[in-house]
Amino acid sequence: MEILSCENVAFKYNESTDYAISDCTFSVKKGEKIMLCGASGSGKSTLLRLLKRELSPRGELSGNITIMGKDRSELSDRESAEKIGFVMQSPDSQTVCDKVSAELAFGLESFGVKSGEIQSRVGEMAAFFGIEPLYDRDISTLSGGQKQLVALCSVMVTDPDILLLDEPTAQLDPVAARELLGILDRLNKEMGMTIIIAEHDPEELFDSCDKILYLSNGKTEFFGTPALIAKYFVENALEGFLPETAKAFARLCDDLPLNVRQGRAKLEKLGVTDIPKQAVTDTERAEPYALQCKNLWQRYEKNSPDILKGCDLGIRKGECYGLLGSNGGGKSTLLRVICGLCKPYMGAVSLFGKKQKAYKNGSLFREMLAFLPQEPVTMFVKESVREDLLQSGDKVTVENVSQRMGIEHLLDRHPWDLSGGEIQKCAFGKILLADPKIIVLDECTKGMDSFAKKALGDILLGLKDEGRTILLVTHDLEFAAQYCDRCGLLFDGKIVAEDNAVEFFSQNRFYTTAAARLTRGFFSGAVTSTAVRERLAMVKRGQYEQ
Amino acid sequence: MRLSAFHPLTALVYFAAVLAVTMFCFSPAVGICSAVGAFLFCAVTQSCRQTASDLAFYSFLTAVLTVTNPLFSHKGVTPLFFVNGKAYTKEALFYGLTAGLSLTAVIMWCKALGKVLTREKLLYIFGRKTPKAALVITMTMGFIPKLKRLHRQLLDALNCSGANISDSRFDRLKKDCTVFTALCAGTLERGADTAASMKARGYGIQKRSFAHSFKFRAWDGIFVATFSVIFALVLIFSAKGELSAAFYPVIKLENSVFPVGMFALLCAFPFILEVKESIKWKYCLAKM
Amino acid sequence: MKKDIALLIVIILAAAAVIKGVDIQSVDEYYSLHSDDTANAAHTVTLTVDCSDILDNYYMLDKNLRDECYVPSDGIVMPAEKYVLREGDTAFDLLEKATRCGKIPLDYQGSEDNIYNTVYVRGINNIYEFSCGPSSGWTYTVNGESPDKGCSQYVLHDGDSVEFYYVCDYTKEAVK
Repeated sequence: MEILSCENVAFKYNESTDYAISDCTFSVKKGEKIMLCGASGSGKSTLLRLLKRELSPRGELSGNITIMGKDRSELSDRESAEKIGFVMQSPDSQTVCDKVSAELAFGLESFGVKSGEIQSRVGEMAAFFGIEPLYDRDISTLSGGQKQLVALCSVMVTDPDILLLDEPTAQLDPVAARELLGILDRLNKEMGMTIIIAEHDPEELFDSCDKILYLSNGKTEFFGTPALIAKYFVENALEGFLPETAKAFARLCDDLPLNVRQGRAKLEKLGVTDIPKQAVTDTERAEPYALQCKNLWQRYEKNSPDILKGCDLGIRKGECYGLLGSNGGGKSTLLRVICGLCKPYMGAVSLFGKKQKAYKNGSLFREMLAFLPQEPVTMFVKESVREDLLQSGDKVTVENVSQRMGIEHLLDRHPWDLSGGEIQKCAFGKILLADPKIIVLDECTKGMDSFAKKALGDILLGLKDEGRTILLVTHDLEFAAQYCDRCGLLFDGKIVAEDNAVEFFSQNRFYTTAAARLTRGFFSGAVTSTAVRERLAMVKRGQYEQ
Repeated sequence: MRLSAFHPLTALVYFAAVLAVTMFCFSPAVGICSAVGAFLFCAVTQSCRQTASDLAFYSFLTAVLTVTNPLFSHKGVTPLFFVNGKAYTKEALFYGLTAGLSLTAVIMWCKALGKVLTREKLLYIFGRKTPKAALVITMTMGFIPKLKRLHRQLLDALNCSGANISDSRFDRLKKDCTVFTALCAGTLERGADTAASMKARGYGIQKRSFAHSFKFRAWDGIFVATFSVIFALVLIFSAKGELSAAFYPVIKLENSVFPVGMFALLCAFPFILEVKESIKWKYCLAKM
Repeated sequence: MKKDIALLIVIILAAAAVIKGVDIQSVDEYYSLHSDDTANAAHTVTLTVDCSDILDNYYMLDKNLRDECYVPSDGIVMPAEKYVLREGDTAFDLLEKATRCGKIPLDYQGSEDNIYNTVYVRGINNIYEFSCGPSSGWTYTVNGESPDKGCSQYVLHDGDSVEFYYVCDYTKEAVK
């Protein structure tokens, strides 16, 4: 049964002359799980918000949106609020109350449900989500992933018929994102919930969806099953929207494997045997250390447990180092120590052989180091990007840098109005103005689609060629495998494993890239989809030669 | 029973009573009892570091009020010395001390109130009559920690960006100003999102219900009765002028021991309850 | 944040001290002024400080002030006495000199602190404005007439007789 359908929907923002959504037609059956994909700015968010009346942007709407057999405007206030659940991108802006318990009850309280029933429904939902241990906590003390689970749970307690999610994993690390998507999968499979989700990272979701809607410039370009749309993407050179396994096999075989299991079966069928490992060039450069941490110990309060426990880290000049590790392993604390935002109680940080403490009065950041925080928008405090950049450099250098980063057209915009990828580029431009020798990046790929990631990676490679040193803290294993020279795993306050990227990811069994999981036992040393493709191409050539 | 375990109204009435006496009976004895009571309660419910920082700050505040009051008020018969030809008197010094103590006490009680009456309790008390106002109040309360966090982020980001900010005082002031403006813009932006989210979840469609209904139990009755009796006694004595103090032209403290003792007991209630609870817990643990 | 507030307070206090200037005198130093010998002086004036109006309205008086040492039974705080007149002395200069000689507490608002550019006498001998009713306060006459100037603007002449007296209700006073 059809629960939602759009017919020739077009939408224009009030202040704009172009259509943000045009010619959009699709329908969703009850219990289906639909993924919306498309480049950032393609109208995914606008389309989702049009489906939820209360959140619709102001503008001119034409066409028909039918929800549960009624036109959008014919739904009663209560139906619209109760039966259509919406989860926003940032859990911080979605939460209304300070306590988890209050947040979960908020929706039901709005509908005037009796106290006892609220308690039982909230309790039941919290159990399903496994968040009872958080029930009495303050929301501000939760991690990003927990916050998003609470946000989802607080929407689910009102028992909606349709669940809309606008890039719910954009602010989360991959581990938390996987957990959230797992819950969504359970909701869909165990409760038959209809789910429409806008996502930028296809890895987990692609294969488990019933249908995928591909939007380009506000138009529905394709709407179909994962297998069909995978074919469509390959034909139109849009592999960026495919999961890693499919990327590896694109154009090399007909029916694309969409997950690791299918991919391994395919390799088995191809009869691939181990192909000799490519010689790994220079394990560690002979350059001097750009950044060295020796025996760092740090705790936040006198009686609290240590967060860093004798952490040693050495990064050589001109190297891109990927620091990996789970949440709470001390990654952000290590970064704060390196940037001098907090002091270790033992150990020292030195930069090019000079002690960090010797840089006085902020000269550390003027001469040596630049830090890009997790939320780059916090680096902007002025009315326009240009004003902010001019704080760090004169007119000519601002011009040069913005040309290099390709942000000239963004200079006069307000920083808050830019999309995640755009603001990231501007922030990059801002730190480059100070001409840093060492660049420290904290989760810089959060919320980026694969095209933005590629652009960012190219920038990083360019910076590396200039002899700059890069420290990358990330959860994004694919990105680290592709662009880092060496990777280290921070666990329990110290670096427990460290090797060049290829070795690092081929040694790990679980904490590794999809490509490495795909090729384990077939090829060694292929940890990115590009590397897998090269190997597969070699296999194919070999077969043809025979 | 901790104070926070009582019915929200019980706690609210208790705080109102203590605050009323603290504000209207201007005397060093009342100030000391009230400040110490509030301080002890805050001390047992927060970290030692926080307590030490509070103690230092409020001592400083009281000292400043004590020292500066005689500069503005020259009343009193006992000049200690003369500043710019005007008397700096002992009486004005004591007046300042009392004012400092009362102010500290009021601030500390408000802090204690914040700890006991959480947002949902306030929402429960005020939400029935004026749901909109109540939500505005409680959201504002939640706003402050959010503001603090964003402020920290902005400051860190700005410090680390390598912008040309020297350490001169003027530049630092300028930096603080820009951060503050950005902070306001940022929070407003997020506030708009929160409002949209509330609407999306049905806020304002109909009369709200409450997830928690607090029951007025026998314990509440006993507690209310006890402190009402004490409060009434304190009121009677203060009406007879036995809790007041005169500072000008000479200091006259007309505090008799009984009403002061009663008030001290009233102020110590939350602390006593808290300590009793933790002793009981220790005792239970020992038996286990 | 608490540190910032504390720092701000200290800065404000320091700034106030710099602007206002700090001149500290001990009690003895302040009262060490002695009246000049009037016998050989060329010009003299007379000063009386009187609060007898309070005696008629004793029920209104602040009960902490109901004492012989603040309000004498005859209502005369300072009996008529001759003082040496120096060139340019105003009525207020005379009052300040006299109270310091007689060790009587005086409190006033400086001429720079109000819009009238004149000193306003708040209290003499711990009897303050509003101490005896909401319309009470100190005022003065010279030779029995109320001048239309403030007491620090009125320059005295030889032989003038100045009287500072307390009124319990200035509205009635104006009618009288």
